[in-house]
Amino acid sequence: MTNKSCDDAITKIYGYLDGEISAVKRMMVRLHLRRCSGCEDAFMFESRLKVVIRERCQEEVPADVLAKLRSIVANEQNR
Amino acid sequence: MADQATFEVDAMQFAPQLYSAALRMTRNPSDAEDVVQETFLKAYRAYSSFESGTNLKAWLYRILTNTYINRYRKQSRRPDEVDLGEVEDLYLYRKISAASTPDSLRSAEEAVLEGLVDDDVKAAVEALPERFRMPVLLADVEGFSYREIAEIMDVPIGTVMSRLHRGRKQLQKALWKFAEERGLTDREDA
Repeated sequence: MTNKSCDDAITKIYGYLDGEISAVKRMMVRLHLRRCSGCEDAFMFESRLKVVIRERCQEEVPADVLAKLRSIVANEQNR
Repeated sequence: MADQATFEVDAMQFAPQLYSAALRMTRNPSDAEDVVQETFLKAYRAYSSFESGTNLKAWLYRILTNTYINRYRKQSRRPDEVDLGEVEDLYLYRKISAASTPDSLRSAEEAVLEGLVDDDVKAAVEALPERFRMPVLLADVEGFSYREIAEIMDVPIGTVMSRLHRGRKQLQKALWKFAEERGLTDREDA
């Protein structure tokens, strides 16, 4: 990851992974990734990391918390 | 206009996500419970002003975020609001690359991604200063767009992008530390 086209791709990495860049820019990134296995590997890693972060931050809601939320709504409805 | 009678059906499906987000915000279960309860109460009372067909999830997160901020921000200017300094882009990836050979890079990546446990990732997110934690949470855990995050946090979209960028780098730095502590980064040839 040293030349300018690599730098260009890397600056777009989060816009790309977040789906926040234009179709044209996406295509340019894809073209670069096809030619550059170093950048492709970096993109793959960041993409997988995003999944890891999401999956490992999930929580079960305790049943009593859910029950309380329901009773809050029920109480309000009966006011 | 949304009908209060359908609030429970409409909103309860988001309870697990809202609770998870509240836990990451408050960093403790009893505060998270309080924040989610207050969020539901406020949301129910304001539900008739919610425009049906628009983004209910984002609307609920906006209430959750405001509730959290109103409750806890005035309580303490946390010491974590200090400037963190710069961290390089792709911090984690570069650290793993530097600690492996081209042949072992893939397995080194695998070791870190697979080896970090839930508690590591949660702790790394929770260690972020609030202004970085919120956008990271909303983007990476909840999957909101930059525009939605800007609306939820009531900041300009450019602010979301820069905080998200800095927050992710800080998060990666914290994850690397956990990876080191767990011995996930040891070179096989060392």
